[in-house]
Amino acid sequence: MKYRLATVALIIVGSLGHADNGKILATSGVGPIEGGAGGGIIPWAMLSGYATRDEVGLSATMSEADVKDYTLSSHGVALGLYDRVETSFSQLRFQNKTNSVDIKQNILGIKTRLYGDALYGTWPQFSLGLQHKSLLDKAVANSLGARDTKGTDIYLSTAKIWLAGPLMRTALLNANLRYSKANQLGLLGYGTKSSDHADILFEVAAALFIHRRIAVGLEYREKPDNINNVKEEDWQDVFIAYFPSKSLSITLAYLQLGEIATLKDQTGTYFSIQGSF
Amino acid sequence: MHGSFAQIKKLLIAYSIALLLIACTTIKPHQSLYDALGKQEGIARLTDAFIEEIQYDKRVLPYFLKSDIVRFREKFIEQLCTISGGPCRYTGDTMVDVHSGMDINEHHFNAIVEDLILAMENISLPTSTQNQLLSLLAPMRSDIIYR
Ligand code: HEM
Repeated sequence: MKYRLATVALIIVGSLGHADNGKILATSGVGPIEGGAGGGIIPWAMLSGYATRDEVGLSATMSEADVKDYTLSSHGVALGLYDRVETSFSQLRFQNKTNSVDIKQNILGIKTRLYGDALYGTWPQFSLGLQHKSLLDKAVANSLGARDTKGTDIYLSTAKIWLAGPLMRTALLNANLRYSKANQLGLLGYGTKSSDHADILFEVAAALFIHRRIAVGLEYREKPDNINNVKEEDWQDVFIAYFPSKSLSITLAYLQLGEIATLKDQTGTYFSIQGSF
Repeated sequence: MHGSFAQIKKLLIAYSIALLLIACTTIKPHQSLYDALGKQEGIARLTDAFIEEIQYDKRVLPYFLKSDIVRFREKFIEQLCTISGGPCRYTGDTMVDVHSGMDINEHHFNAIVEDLILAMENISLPTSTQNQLLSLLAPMRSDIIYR
């Protein structure tokens, strides 16, 4: 709750201050659930905020996914340093709408730009990221037979923006490879008692600016399936993002999260708001 | 689903093809851009709107206070006409020569791009025309900043 209020305050402060620094509009995406710069359900190679190589940028994000049997909310802050490093802290909260399952998870993220500039480079931008996650509520993970309640994902991310892409509209393509042992983002723990094996998972996002302030797109996130009898399926979404100013973004999405913890067909809506300065 | 390497290879190939497809659709002849900008008259109008935005922009105005704005206007019009495929020849100095030693950073470059976008909005150029022009100017960035 404390974090949540602080996040709201930051978003408001961020969106009031006019970000007269840095990048041109909307090149750092919106706020993904696990924190940092990205889309709705995956991180992107861009760094958070509008900081150029001479600047520092801060952003705050809140999101809420509401699918058939669960809600998944997230709030967090990210600090971008000199267009080189991004650090982020987010808290996820996963709740079953009809029983007492209520799981909180902290995510500490760091991402570094290895090479390139998604907008101005000839070649895509490459970044390498870590997400260190720890569960605050461990009972469900333990009862399902997870090996750990903490874990670290590593991902390699690449993105390219075309100013005049298809239909002469600005377009973005992002792809990630993630090395992970997490069950459902780690909300159900990491690995299983019988296996400590990690997967390499593919994630992709595509977006098109149909208007200078409105982007539409889709995302796909491959998921592992570690726990016997508790199926996990790939995630996908279609989204529309609105950038009323450089310092504010609002995103709506339709999510398809598949089966989660034995409950099938988790489809629903996603809303997020981000302020940056 | 387990991320097998075969599957990742397939997905990477799909990603590369998508990259190529998008890249190809962006390589278009620019003959029509000159017309879309409204030929000589439209380009002059855009340049005037651009200079007006620069006047209101504290971030970059100091750079232009010392410069010969009549010459800037003339050369900028020539440059837009030339790169958009119009019947002109750019007679100004190279981007490197003009902007060297001015201490221009990314922040200033982005500010200029924003001013140009505002100018294009003010004279109601369609987004597709704006994007085509921006994509021709973007590659000049490395000749202008940190020189
Ligand atoms: C894509 C971006 C840019 C383009 C296409 C561009 C183009 C030009 C052109 C054609 C000229 C006239 C050259 C001549 O007189 O021979 C010029 C001059 C100038 N530019 Fe840029 N420019 C860009 C970015 C910038 C930026 C970011 C700044 C600094 C904030 C800047 C500051 C100036 C100044 C001060 C002059 C006048 C120089 C003088 O009077 O000696 N330009 N630019």
